[in-house]
Amino acid sequence: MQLDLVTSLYVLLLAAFIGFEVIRRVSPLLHTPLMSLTNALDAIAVVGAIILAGEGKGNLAKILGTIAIIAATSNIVGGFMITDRMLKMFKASGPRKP
Amino acid sequence: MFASENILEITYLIATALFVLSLKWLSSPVTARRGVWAGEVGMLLAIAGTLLHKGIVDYRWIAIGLVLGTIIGVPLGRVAMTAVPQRTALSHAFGALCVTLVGTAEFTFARRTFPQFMMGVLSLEVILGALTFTGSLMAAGKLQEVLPQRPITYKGQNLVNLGCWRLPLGSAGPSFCIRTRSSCSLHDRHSPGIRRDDDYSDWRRGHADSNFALEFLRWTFGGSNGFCTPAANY
Repeated sequence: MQLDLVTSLYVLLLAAFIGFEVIRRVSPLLHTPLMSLTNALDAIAVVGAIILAGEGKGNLAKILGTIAIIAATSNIVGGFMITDRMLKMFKASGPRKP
Repeated sequence: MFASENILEITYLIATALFVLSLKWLSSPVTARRGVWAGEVGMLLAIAGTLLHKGIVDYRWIAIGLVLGTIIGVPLGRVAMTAVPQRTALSHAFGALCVTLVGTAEFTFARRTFPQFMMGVLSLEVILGALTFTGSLMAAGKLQEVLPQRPITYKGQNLVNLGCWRLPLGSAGPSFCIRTRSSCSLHDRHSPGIRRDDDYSDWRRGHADSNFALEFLRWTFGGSNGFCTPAANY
């Protein structure tokens, strides 16, 4: 999907507003799970690394792409696991442990 | 039916919607676990859709990367709850490492085909990614108390830090500048060139009586003066 510069700026603008709005009213109890979840979502860069490592452009792309995939995948797996563990400590009435 | 590029783009669209919902659901304890589920499904969709991208010819390295990443990620997800801050800092370092490496490789392969502004943006990605990588590693070390907790300073540190910015800004800065004849003579101080009254004239007018700030700016952004910068090839 080819985007020109102005359309990309629209996407950036709307995404910034969406991000601001959904984060605005997070309760302070959930700040730490939010940090680790957004960290895991940041690993969407693995998509770029997969394309880089898979297109067969040469050794530099393969090596750098593989290291990037390792880093991003460990973020994904670890991030979702730890966020789920943190949220399991919440009962419906509130958290048992910070 | 649909071409495979359309399927990939629709997959990305659904994944984006799931990511936004994931963040939204995380704002309240009642829906928070649903938010994690949505994030996981969105990420799986994005990765699966990318694996079906038809530009990919070699799956071995991708598979190696995914498996090794999972092996590293599982112990990182099982740390004690008291170690969560340093785990988060370490995780930030990994994310920055991924972005830096992808940006570096894309820059290397795109040198002649991308417009100048895009190359500058890629340079910024690499600069910020590398900065985040080392900074987050320092933060993780301090949180884990491997590094001393007090501020680590040495004499002349500020000058060294400012000096360290010369190479990144000197390489990436000229990518964002419009290269006219007058701006080229800005960088070449041995032949004055044609002095005209245009955008850069306020820099040149201060040539004889410039103060330290102007000199430093000129030194920082005069990337093509003595360095072989990538942007100088355009």
